[in-house]
Amino acid sequence: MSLGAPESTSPREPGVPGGSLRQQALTVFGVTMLILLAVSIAGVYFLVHQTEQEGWRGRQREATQRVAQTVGDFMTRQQNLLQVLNLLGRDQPQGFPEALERLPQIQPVLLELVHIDATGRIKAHAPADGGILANLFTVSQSNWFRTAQQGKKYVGDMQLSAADEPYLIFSVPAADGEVLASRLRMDILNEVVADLHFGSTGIAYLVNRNGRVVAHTSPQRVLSHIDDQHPDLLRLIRTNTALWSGEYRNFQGEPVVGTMLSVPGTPWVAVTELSRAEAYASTRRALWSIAVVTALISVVMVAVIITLLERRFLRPMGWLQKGVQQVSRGDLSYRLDIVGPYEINQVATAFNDMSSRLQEREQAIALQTEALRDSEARYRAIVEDQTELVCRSLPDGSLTFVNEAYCRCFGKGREELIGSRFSPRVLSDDQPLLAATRAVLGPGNPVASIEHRIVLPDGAIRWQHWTHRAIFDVRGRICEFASVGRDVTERREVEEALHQAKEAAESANRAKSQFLANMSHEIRTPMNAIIGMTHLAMQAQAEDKRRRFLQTVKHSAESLLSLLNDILDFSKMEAGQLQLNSSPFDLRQLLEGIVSTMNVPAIENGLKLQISTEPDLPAVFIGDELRLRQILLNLVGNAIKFTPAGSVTIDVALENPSEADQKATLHFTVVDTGIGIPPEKLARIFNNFEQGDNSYVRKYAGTGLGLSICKQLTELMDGGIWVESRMNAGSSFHFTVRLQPSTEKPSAPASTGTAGQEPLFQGLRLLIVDDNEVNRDVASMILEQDHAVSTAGNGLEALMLLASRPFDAILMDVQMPVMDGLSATTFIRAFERGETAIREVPGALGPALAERLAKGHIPIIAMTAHAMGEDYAKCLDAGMDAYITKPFQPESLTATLRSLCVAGSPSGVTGAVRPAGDEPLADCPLPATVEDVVLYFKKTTRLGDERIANLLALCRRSLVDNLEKADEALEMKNFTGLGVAAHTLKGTLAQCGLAGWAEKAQEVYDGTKKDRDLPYADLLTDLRHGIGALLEHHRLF
Amino acid sequence: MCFRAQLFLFFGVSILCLLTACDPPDSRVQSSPTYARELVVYNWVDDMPGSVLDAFTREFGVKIKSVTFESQEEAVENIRNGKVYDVAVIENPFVPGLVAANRLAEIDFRQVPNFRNISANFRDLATDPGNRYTVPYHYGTTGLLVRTDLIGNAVTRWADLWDPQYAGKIAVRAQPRELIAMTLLSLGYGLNSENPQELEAVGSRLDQLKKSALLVEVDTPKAVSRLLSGEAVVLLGWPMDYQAARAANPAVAYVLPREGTALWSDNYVIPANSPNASTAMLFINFLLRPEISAQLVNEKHYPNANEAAYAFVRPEIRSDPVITPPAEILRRAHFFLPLTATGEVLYQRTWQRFLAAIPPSRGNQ
Repeated sequence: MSLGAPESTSPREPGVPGGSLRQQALTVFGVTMLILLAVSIAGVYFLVHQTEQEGWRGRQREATQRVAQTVGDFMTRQQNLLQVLNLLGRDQPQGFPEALERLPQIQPVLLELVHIDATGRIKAHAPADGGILANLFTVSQSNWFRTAQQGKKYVGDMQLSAADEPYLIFSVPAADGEVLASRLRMDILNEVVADLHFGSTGIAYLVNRNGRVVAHTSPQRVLSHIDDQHPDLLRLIRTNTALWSGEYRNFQGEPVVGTMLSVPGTPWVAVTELSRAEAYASTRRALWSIAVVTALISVVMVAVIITLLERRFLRPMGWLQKGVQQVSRGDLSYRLDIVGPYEINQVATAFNDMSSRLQEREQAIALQTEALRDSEARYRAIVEDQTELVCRSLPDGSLTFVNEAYCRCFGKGREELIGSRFSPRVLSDDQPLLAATRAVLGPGNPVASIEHRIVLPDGAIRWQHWTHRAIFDVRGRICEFASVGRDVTERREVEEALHQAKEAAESANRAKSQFLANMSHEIRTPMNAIIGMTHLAMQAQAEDKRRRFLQTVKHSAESLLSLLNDILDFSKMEAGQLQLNSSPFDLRQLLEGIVSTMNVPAIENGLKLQISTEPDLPAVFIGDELRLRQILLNLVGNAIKFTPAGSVTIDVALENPSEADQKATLHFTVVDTGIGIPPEKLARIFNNFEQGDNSYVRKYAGTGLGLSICKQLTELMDGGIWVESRMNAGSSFHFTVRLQPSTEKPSAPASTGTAGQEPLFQGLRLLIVDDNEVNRDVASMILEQDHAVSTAGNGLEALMLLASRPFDAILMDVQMPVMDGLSATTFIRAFERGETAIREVPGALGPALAERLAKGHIPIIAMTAHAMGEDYAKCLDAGMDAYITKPFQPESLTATLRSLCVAGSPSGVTGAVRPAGDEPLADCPLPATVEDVVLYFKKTTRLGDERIANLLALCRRSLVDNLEKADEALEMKNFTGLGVAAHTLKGTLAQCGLAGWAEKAQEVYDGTKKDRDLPYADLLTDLRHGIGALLEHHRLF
Repeated sequence: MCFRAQLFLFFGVSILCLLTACDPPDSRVQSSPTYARELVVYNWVDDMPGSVLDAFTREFGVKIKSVTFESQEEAVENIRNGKVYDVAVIENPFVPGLVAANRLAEIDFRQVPNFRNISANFRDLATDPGNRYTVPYHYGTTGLLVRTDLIGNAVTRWADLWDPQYAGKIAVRAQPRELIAMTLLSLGYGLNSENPQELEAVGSRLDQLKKSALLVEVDTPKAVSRLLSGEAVVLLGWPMDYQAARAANPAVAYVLPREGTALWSDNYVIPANSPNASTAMLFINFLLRPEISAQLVNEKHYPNANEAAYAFVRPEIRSDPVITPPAEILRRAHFFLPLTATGEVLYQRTWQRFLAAIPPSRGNQ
């Protein structure tokens, strides 16, 4: 059938009826015949139907008119009868009743006759035994009476009595407003309509305007009121007044053709109905005949046409088709031998020519193919011998070519690969890259290279470099891929290594740079201080200034050293060179050592440093005591640094009670009540060069390496470090270390164990209150040897210290700025008595003092230069327990202390300790010498040379300062300031044993107090000269 | 390929289609009757016995909602104003007005087959020729109930109501048409007179009556109780009143006055705005069943227009001349006729005058 190749390759275009010519011919002829058939049937139907309908309509109208006519005639006859009666009645008034009575007997249709007078009374009636009309009591109201009385004829509608007797009332006007009425049988009308037949199913009936059947061929229909099956009747009789014909459903619900006509002179409508089946019987018969005949003709015609088509056209087409099939199968020598119409012969000749030409071309192609095969074999050999992997694949993934190397690489045979959809297993990480590469291939960009990893059949992962070329067909769609790949694993590995090395180098470099940046800052800060202070110290003339500068230099140098230590530790740890010692040590001693070391800064900060340990904590552990101490010192130091008030507690707990020869985990906690650490910083706090906040760096010195070192150290000890903190509520630094408990004794006992005979007296907590720094220092130096000493510059400071921690005794100067000793003592005693509501105590101190001092009695020893009875009394009045005179001697001081603190009740002690000096110094003092002062110090304090030198320096500084202050005050005419300076000078001089010069200073002080106009400048000059040696000596150092 | 077979099939089917297209299929739909859930029946107070209404509800599942009026004038007014009722009871003279105003629905007598039971006396009357809008219900006389034990048999005429000896003891109801008609009769005029002079005379006579009469409720038990208590000695009333009074006091007589009695007749009508006309017709047809109509008579003592009902009416009621007066009396009775528009105005004016007159000393209306 196919004349050319397109039949099999190109899809049929939609919309064109494909398939055989034969079917198309059939369709065209068939549809044409069908249309002809339909048109002819419709035409015939229409004509026959019209004719038949007209015929029946005419017959029906005739019948209906006959019914109407008959009924109308009947009614007219009855009316005429009454008219006649009326006329009779007029002419023969006497004979009328008899005539009446006889009538119903003659006329069976008359049921009743009545004669009624103008008032509605019955004058006569027939039959004599009465009927319905004769017995009415509503005659005057009835419609028939009133209509006739108005001079009109009355024809009533059909009435059905309770006995189902249909009747009808007629009335006519009679003379003098009288009325003649008759009642008629209605069933007679049934017979009238029953007589009318037409067709075999035609019937006739009468209905009134309310749709009630008045007369019917079957009388039961009259009696039956409900006719639910005749839905159209009421509508039709109400809407059609004249003659009407049409189709509707009758009482039985069957379709009928009906005609309606009003019966003249009555309220009725005559109806005739004929079943539609009968009415249109001829139409239907004609329809069937026509349909059958035309169908037959159509079939015959179509058959003839198709047969002709088949014989003259389709058969030669079949031969042609067979020829083409032969050629397409390769039988080019096949020739057609067709005898047929001219057109067919032409086609056959053309076909034979084409076959010959095809045969020639086939031979030429065979030669070319041979040449191509040779060429292909040569190139194939080249491709096959490549070490690169070469393959070609279709877009659906199936391989069309692979070379030897490809097969080798994936361990599969060529036969296995070609045609299969094999592809190397690409590592899933690289698949997106591969897909992206494939996606970019297009006519504008046919080549793409990619490197990715593949998994070889033996599981090895190799890097391969692939170059994919897409080959496109004429429409620009990819029809094949040619891919060349090679293994680049070695190169990738080298690259990777190089890359990593570069990364490492860069990272190390970055770290170094950052470290240097941090360090340079940390080092520069103290370095600046050292350089700046050294410069100042070199320029400073005054010894004490220079000393202060150098003090700063020393602090800075110390912090530098600590920084360098930290860096050393840190770098050791960075380098992994930090080795931990392992020797037994006493944990408790370690903790106590830390407390004693850190107590001084703690007390300076007004903090309480305490230890809390579990009672069953083993005493001795084996580990690196030094490093543990370093951690604890660091944490405690931090805690003190960042805690403005409150306490610092070191808590040690054993986390898992150790069994024999097992390491125990020790949990250390350093709890402070300090400023806390912001939550966002908590994570970073253990990093290098981090503090809680950069702003802390300014406020609190430090390298920021401490916690980092602690972290590394705890890790070295198989532990960890972490922190819990709440802002402004304090921090808890936790760390754990794993140590081996030991029963061994530590090799070197740390404690010196100075268990004195009077332990109470040793280690008293003493508070020295003096405004004179020298006095304060002398006293503290003397007492520090055996006791914990705190100092305060005036009474208020003393109260503040008292509020923050307990003391065992107080040494109190009497005359001090801000708050003198007497007032302070009065406050203390008041608090001890529980009088809490004391005025003038700074608000925050009150409750703390009350709590601390309540119900106690703290010994207070007055320190005064004036051993006057009056002063003494004042002191005792204020509540002091004893007094000593300045300059005081160690013996007297300790004796007084002991008598007060050891003897228990201090009240008994009233004795004064007098200065040890034999006699007062000369009135006119000799110029002071350094030797004298040193001697005096040695005599009074029993301190070592070094300490005495310190003391001397302190005195010197105080004297120089105060002389300068005095000069300045004098210049400014500030006599109060002069008095203060003189007072301090007096105190210091007295402490140095220079009583004469002290009196000179006292003279100045007294003068300012009493507003006396003394030659202060001269007095000060005298003083300066007198103690000049002392001041000059200073310069000699 | 059997294309010839295809061909035949093709033609055959086409022709069949053509032929069947000439004969459309029967598309008759049989609908089952669906009734309204409730009917509103507008009637006189205490007119229709509950037993009848209940029987209807039981049989058809349709509830009856009774709405009552106190006078025909009130009922006509409400129907004219478009209030919605499904069945109303309207007296003959008021029918033409409502028909003219298109307020009544035409009755489809194919749905009321029991109409055949209606007496010929009430068919095709002048007030509704051909019974297009009405189905007769019942009828009756208007008369006087007299306490013969108190005043003997002296009262025989309508005019006796003006006898001063009964002043204050004459009980009447506020029924405009009836009172005016009765006054017309007492003066010797026609019952339906529209003569202005005659109505003027009626007006002044009614003024007198207002002074001596006692206005009582329409409701039978309440009205009768006035008579029974002796508060009134004469009651202008109806047979139902008589039956109620007679049961309590046999000395009560029902007098049909000598001037002639008034004959009234009630009809069932379906207001044009009723949404349930079909159910209303069902209800009317139900009421026209002989035994149901008989029940109405037996319980309410009004003669019914239903002829077939009398077979089921209790004999003592059937033979009671007050309840079913003999045809002779009825022939002499006067019918209420529809008024012309002029007459309507005159009657209304007369009634307004009566209402405005000085009220009786012991009235309660």
